[in-house]
Amino acid sequence: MIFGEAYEGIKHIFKRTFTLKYPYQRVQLPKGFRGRHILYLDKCTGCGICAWICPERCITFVPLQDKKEHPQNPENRFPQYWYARCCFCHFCTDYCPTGALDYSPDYELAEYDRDLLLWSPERLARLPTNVGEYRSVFHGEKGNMGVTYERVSEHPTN
Amino acid sequence: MTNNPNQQTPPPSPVTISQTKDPSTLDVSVGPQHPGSGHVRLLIRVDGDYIVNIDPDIGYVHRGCEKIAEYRTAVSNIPHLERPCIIDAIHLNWAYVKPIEELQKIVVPPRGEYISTIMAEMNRIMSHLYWLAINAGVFSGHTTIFMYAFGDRDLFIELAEMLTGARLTYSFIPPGGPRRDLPTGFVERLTKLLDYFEGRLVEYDRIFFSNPLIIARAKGIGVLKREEAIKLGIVGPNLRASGVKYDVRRVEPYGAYKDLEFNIPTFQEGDSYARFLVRFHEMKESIKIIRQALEKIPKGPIARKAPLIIPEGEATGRVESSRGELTYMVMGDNSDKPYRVKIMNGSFRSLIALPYLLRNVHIADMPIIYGSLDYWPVEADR
Repeated sequence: MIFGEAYEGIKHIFKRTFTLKYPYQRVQLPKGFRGRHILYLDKCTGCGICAWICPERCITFVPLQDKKEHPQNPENRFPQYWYARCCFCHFCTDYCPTGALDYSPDYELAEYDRDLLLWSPERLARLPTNVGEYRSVFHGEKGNMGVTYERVSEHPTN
Repeated sequence: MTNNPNQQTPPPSPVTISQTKDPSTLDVSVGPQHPGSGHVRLLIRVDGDYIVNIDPDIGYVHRGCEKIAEYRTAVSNIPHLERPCIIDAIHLNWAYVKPIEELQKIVVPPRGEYISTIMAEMNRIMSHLYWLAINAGVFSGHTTIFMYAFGDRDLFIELAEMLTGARLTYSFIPPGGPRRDLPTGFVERLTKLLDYFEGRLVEYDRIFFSNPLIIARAKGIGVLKREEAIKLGIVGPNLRASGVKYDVRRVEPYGAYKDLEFNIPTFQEGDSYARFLVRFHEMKESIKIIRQALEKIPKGPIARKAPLIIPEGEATGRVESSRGELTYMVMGDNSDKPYRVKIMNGSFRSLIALPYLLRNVHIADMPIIYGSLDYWPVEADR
């Protein structure tokens, strides 16, 4: 029994690691990951369906600060998200009739100030920055398989 | 004590075990600051090393889900109605949506039912792995299984993320059918993961379920007899460990379960070890179900468009969640909000069993019995 336990511990010395060094190595998120929202300012008509479906009522409508013309949105109403309340269900994205909202892989939304969690339409229109490169890869045959995290570029097909 | 008039005396505890107190006994409060119990306080009265009586003090995480549900629309209700048990979100979601679909008279396309079934069985494995890591592993002092089970759970979470876009709170099944079709590469990855996980289950059996230390600690502890279990209304794996072959997936087949073949693991002993084994074998059955579903999945649409209004009437939806039978009752009144939502879940039944099981046992056996029930305080308080 004791040898079995010792074997169980020692065998991990010869195995490759399963964990990631997080801030430096990030896991690659799949397409359609429900992080923060992206707003396409040239598509939003300001209809308000996103605010109606929102379970947490975190969407309010505000005018844009720049005085640019948006012909599809004559009333100049654009959604503003309060991420202190958002639960990332993305029903707003699914129900948007013009496709003005989109998923993004950004999930690090912590701020030092509570007011900074209120994302203006211009801030939502920024493109996502989070890029993950690591992904779990299975090795070996059935019955004796292992798993490690590896750079995606090395295994483009997996 | 100082005689400060401004000092307020604390209010008396709402829970008292009993008024008559034997001087040889001692009251001990276990929790609520997470001694492994979660957000529940177990007031136990001990005589030496034995527990004489126990009174579970619940309600620390009561959020009034049922009342909130009356103020949200049918779809907006989904995210917060799956919060009571986030590690088992898909079952809570599905059980809420089923009665609404029944009232709206929508039939979900078969492909949608299959996708929901695959996701539900993945969620059952994830939930059982969480139980294996925390409630079985950590409570019995076995930290290796904690690391193993949590590591493997993450691989399932990655796949759930691929399918639904979220890691835990999926909000995946609105009325009418699931939100997304299986993405490209999902089936291959899931097949590989199941092959990998099947090998891991052998390892789990070797290091945990066949471990003589675990058997010595769990066998014959906290016996719930068949008749008692039926009388108390226990559901799910805890009931099946007491020898009752009852599973909603078989009794009242929903989703794609009527097309799929699977066994219902049942044990006669009713002790903690039997409850461990039921969940272990359920993970094996889930692998079988997912493999069959991936083979048989038909082509076609995944969802139908559902109306926004809940018609007048009352309907119940039952699913077999990881913690047993889960029932949602929804009443509609021709508006977009439900008139009433009622939740009945497996954790609350486990809570009822606690005072019966934790009597005349050693204090050291308490974590094992508590862990074997897979009690989730938030789901019971809701």
